[in-house]
Amino acid sequence: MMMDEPAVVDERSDVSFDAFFLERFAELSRLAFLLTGSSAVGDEIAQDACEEVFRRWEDITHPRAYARMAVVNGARAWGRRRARRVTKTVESNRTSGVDADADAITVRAVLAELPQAEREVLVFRYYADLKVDDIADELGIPAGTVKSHIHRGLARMHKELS
Amino acid sequence: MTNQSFEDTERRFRAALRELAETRQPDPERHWRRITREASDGPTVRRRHDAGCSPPRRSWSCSPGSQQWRLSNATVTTRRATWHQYRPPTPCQIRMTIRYRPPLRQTRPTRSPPRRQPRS
Repeated sequence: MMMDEPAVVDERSDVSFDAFFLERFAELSRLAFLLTGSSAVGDEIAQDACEEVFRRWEDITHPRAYARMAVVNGARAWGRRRARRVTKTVESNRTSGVDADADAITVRAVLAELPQAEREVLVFRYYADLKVDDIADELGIPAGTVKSHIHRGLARMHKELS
Repeated sequence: MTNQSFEDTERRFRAALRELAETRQPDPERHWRRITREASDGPTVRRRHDAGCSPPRRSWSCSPGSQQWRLSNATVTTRRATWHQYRPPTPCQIRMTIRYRPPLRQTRPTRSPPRRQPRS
């Protein structure tokens, strides 16, 4: 399930929360996984985001964008908590149970080492397929910053993938 | 980076990212059950994988006039001043407003010394 439509198509109209959840949970979980590098944490963050949407369902006009930002905030909070702890989990990301090809494993390792802001922008751009302006809107940063994050991140990816 | 290599990197990165994402096959049913259970049954407090503390149990207590609720091993501070009016909060309010703090210090459970066997 890919997020290849623009952010504004998720108007609620008559969609029920059940339908939203069944359609979007996997997408949100994958987004959280890419942002944190951890499957279990990704599921927890996606569930928290869905609960947040569930509680505010009547007030939200763009549940998909809202849930996406809830995932980003959850991933940031998790990153802060992890940074305070002594245990280091990054090295386990290189090898732990992902059945993917070499590029995917490299990408996972590089993502884990990128600064949070850069990782968010790259995942929004190349997984969620959002445009630069949409990313800037959702993350609340200037479009120029988004572009520079993309450029820097891709330069790093180029180095690691070649 | 030339335009060609930039585009090539973009393409490979996008494909790898999607493949990586596809390795995750979450089970929406399981999470749906948890969401509906929490909405109906009350504040089931989940163990956070990264919280570093054991999950608090459902033993709530609150002194009147206080904004602090005590759980068995965590202090929960409410943001709403109305909570202390002898009215337990709804599950949604709890999930929205509490923040868990890990215990300041890990303490070992106290154990009574082994009994001495009477001499025969």
